[in-house]
Amino acid sequence: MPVKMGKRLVAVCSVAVATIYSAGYIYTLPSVQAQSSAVPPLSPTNNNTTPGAAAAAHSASASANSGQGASPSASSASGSSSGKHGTSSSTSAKSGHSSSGASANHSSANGASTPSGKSSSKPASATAVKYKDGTYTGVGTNPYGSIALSVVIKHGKIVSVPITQWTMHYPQYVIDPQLPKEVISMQTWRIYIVSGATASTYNFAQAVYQALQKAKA
Amino acid sequence: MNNPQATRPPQSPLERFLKTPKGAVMAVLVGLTLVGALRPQDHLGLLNAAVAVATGLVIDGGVALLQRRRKLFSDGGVITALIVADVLSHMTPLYVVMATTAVALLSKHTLKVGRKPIFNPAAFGLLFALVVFGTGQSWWGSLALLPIWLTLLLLAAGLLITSRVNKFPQVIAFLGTYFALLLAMAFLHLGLPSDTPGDALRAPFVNSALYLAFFMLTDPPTSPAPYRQQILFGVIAASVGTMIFATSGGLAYLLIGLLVGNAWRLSLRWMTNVPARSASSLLGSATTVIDAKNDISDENLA
Repeated sequence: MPVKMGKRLVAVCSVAVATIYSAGYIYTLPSVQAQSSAVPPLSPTNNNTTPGAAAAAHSASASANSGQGASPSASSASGSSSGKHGTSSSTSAKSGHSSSGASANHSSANGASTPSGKSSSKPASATAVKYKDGTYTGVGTNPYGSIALSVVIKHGKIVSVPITQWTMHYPQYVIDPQLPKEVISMQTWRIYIVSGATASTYNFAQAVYQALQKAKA
Repeated sequence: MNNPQATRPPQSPLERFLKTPKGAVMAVLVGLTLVGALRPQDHLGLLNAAVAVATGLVIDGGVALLQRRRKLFSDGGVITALIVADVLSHMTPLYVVMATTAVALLSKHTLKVGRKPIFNPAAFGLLFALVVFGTGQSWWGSLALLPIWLTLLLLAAGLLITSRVNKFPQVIAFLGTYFALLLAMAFLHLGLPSDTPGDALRAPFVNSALYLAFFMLTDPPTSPAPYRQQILFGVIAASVGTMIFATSGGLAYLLIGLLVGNAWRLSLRWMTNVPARSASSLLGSATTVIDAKNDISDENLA
């Protein structure tokens, strides 16, 4: 056995590592906070000034298998080092995007009525898209886990979005209750990406979209 | 009490086992697995862990039978299985858990120089599973999905193990390089929009890096013992991993960094140990390569 590293040296080195970590954490704090309230340019098809980057990026991935840098959800689900945010070929993902027309409906509804860049904007999209009252379920899946949720519709409006199952890498509190509130507020599945939890955001948007497809009149 | 040995307090076999590095690692991993499974969604992770451990015992036990060893119980197999289960998402199908564990342990028995595996078995199996099965990795055993303060538990457990296997230079070099490069990336605005340095410095990614540094990087058979080599090993693993994170993101960057470090160590051994190089082969050689006087373990930790 070699002579063990002295405790004092271990302590000094550990403090140095902790200092470097803290510097990085603090330095990246503004960007993380900024990204949590804005839409990062994840996809060439994204409109940075409109809500729903997660959904937009997801739509892009469904139609074109673009690179990961452009669209995280388009990254390979089957391995290599680019699988983090890749969507699997699950039926939920496919069905969630099988109808681009439905997506266009949502898009136009939001584009017409939602002030850009503000999650607190008052949506009028509920008047454009009618939903049947009831409780509808949806699932979003990618290699990082899955999210199952229910969308409760009353009087044609989304009134609650309880998450019923959470198996994502990220802690649930990263997006809950923020994203369910956004869905209720904006009455759409097109939501803001939560920085540091893009995979969870995509899955959430995917699950809400799937549920809303079932709820469409 | 006439016997001198009887003057010492009697130790049960379990106590003796827990005092060994492998025993300590196994106890810590079992503890982390149980704590990680406290999260209701991860209860099923315990089933994965049980299946992985059973698979590990069967495979390593079978190999021991073939090699006519007296000891059939493989603590190394259990450790590898626990790491595999801790990393794979609990939603992973059981057959994938079994296959991942099997590949990990088979790599230990086949890709080796002398008695020592070249690659960290768990990292090898997990990378294989990612490529072949596209498995999700939640690293739930790193307590990444639990309240952030539980990371302190991970740190305490990790420091304990690092001390037991005498790998502080390696762990400090790895984490120091990793965090420094992420800081540099942030300064220079490098990285992918979807995988930023800010993400890597926060849960759950930072938990993954800590888990890998404390419990995978420190595997004695697949990492060097001399301090200088430990430092280089940590720097290489962190640099390669961060480079992959910056350019590709994804799940595998930490695993690839570790495996590249393992490969570097193999090349180092080949360059510095000419007799062993000529006498041993990569696949199934019975030749024992004496790595270094300082090496700790006589068997695989993982």
